Amino acid sequence: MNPPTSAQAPAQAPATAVHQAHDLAHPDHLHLRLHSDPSEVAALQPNLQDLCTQAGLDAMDAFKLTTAIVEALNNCIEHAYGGQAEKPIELQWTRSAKAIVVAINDEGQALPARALDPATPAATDAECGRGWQIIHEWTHAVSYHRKDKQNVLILTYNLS
Amino acid sequence: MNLDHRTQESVDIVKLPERLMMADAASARAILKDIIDQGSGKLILNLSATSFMDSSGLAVIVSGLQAARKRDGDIYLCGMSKTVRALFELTRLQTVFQIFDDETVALRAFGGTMST
Repeated sequence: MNPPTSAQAPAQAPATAVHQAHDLAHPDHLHLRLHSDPSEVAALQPNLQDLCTQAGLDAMDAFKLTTAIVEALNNCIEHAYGGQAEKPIELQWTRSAKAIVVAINDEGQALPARALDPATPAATDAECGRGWQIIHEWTHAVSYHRKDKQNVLILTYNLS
Repeated sequence: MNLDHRTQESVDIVKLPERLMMADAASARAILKDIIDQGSGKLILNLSATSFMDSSGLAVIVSGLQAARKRDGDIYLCGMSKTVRALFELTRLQTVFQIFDDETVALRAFGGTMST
């Protein structure tokens, strides 16, 4: 399998950096590009978890933030792009002393307003509908806006 | 995707992979449905190797539960890590599934007498 297309800034760099991300010592900023392909999200997941650990999160918190990011990427694929492959997704990871901020951009359909309502968890026996609950519950802040025909979802995980 | 599957005392026992995510969800769902349709409807899912799961993975397990209960069966879970357990608790799925420490206890709950 080809590695997910990704790049540390500059954005036009060859898309091979995802598997190197875990080698970077305490990266404060990463800019990754991938396609709307679930296998690319799966390839990225261990690297995200490593980034969380390098940022100082314990195993449980690293799992929580990684899961929230994966859910956000899954939403890009499943909802923004309606399952279309090869569409662009960008992820920017910024770590400061106070927080990890993850910005995820896609060029798909706008997010429905109800997605930002954390008070609508799925029924316990429902197959779907848990992604947004995970995103809301396992991050400290979620914001969304449209910019230049792109969805911009920002997840904030406080470190202090 | 391959899932480690065996049958003991009419209970199907499946070991889930290290990760269960959207990328493998359709395949895993089809495999589980096939096992349930061909078996007794009683299934133990061993998650002891599963270190990561997203909501697509949860959906696979819930769809399996629905298929099992249509056959008057059930799905019991075992071997869950603390992190995956946290995901089940967040989504309240621990109220839907019976969760056991290991296969032996889960099989006993199905009425079996497992010796491993």
